Amino acid sequence: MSKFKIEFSSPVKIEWVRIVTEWREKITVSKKIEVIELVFDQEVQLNNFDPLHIVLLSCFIDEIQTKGYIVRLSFTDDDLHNYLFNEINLKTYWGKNKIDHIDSPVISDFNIWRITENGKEYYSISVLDYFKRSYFSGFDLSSLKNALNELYFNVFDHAEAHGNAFSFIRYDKEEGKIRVAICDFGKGIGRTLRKRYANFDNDCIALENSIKVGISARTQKYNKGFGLDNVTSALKKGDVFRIVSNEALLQIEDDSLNIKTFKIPFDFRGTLIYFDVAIESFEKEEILENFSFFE
Amino acid sequence: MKTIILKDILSDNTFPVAGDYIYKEINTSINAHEKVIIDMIDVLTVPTMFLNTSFGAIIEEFGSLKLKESIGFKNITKSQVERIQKYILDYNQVIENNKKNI
Repeated sequence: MSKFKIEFSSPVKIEWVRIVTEWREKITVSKKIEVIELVFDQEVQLNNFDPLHIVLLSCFIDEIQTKGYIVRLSFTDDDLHNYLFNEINLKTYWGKNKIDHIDSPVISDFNIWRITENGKEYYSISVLDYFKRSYFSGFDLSSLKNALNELYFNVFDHAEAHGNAFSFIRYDKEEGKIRVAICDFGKGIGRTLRKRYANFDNDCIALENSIKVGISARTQKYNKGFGLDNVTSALKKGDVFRIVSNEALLQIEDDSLNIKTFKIPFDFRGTLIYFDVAIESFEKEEILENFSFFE
Repeated sequence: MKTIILKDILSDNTFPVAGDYIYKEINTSINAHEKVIIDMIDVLTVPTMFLNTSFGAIIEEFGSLKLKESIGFKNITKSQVERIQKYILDYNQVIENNKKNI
């Protein structure tokens, strides 16, 4: 008998964030061994299960388990069950020992990675090596590598997520996009910035400002407020970038001039970043033998 | 003129620490009226936490013109040059904004 049964009845992303947020409030630390069952209804299928679902679910499972529960997953779609257990190897991540990363047999997936202090620089190198080897030899993928570095460092510098942070990357060959999702159950960008900038009246304003040059919580002395701008200013036609944090959603389509923010009716404690990079924007790598600002 | 192979520095250090190492090298070279060449071979890109502790720190101390005069690159991608140029412009803008806010 499960203590709680949590139903995910649709694949709608913001609905998932709401369900997870509400249940995080309800689930308290367990003193005895109890089961929490996560139920994925008929509409939640492999073909609509995105990197966002995977990282959000990973953080949620991690938190539930840390609170002392056993997590059980129930599926209607057998393909999704097979994918999560046999290809992503979800169970292995939360077995006897917590594991940071296992390679996936699915060539287009760069499997779940627990964002760790030691691995945060090497992971982006692995991702790039992997994509260059498998699909994009000779192309300049530096903007993707740069984005990953900035975002992983952000988790460590600002989030205070206590190890509950995950990344997942997939190459969607049909759509011609690389889909990246990064989630942490830390304090959230909105909350962190509003602590420093008293004039940011709400989380929408905080998120809008978070991508501006010079805006930083300055948690570390090397933080100067260039990181998120460095990510968003590299967006090109066909790219979509989103941040959900605290009570706000920020969305950028195509380039950093097209920004929208939305207030969301709940407080997501953490930061969820998901973005799609259109591979048609990748240019051939051009290496200059020598460069000086003044010849 | 001194040449630094950046991948050697990055192999043993985090980005911020490697940036600080580069800052010290450029600082020494500026005082000796010399130039530092940074060989970017096998380094696809460097994030802002490296740029802040290296070039950003030099801009704070000597200004962006002195930085540009004092460094050169080998084996650098075109996109990385563009990113560094944007970074220098942005850093100057932040300094200007901070002056206005004082």
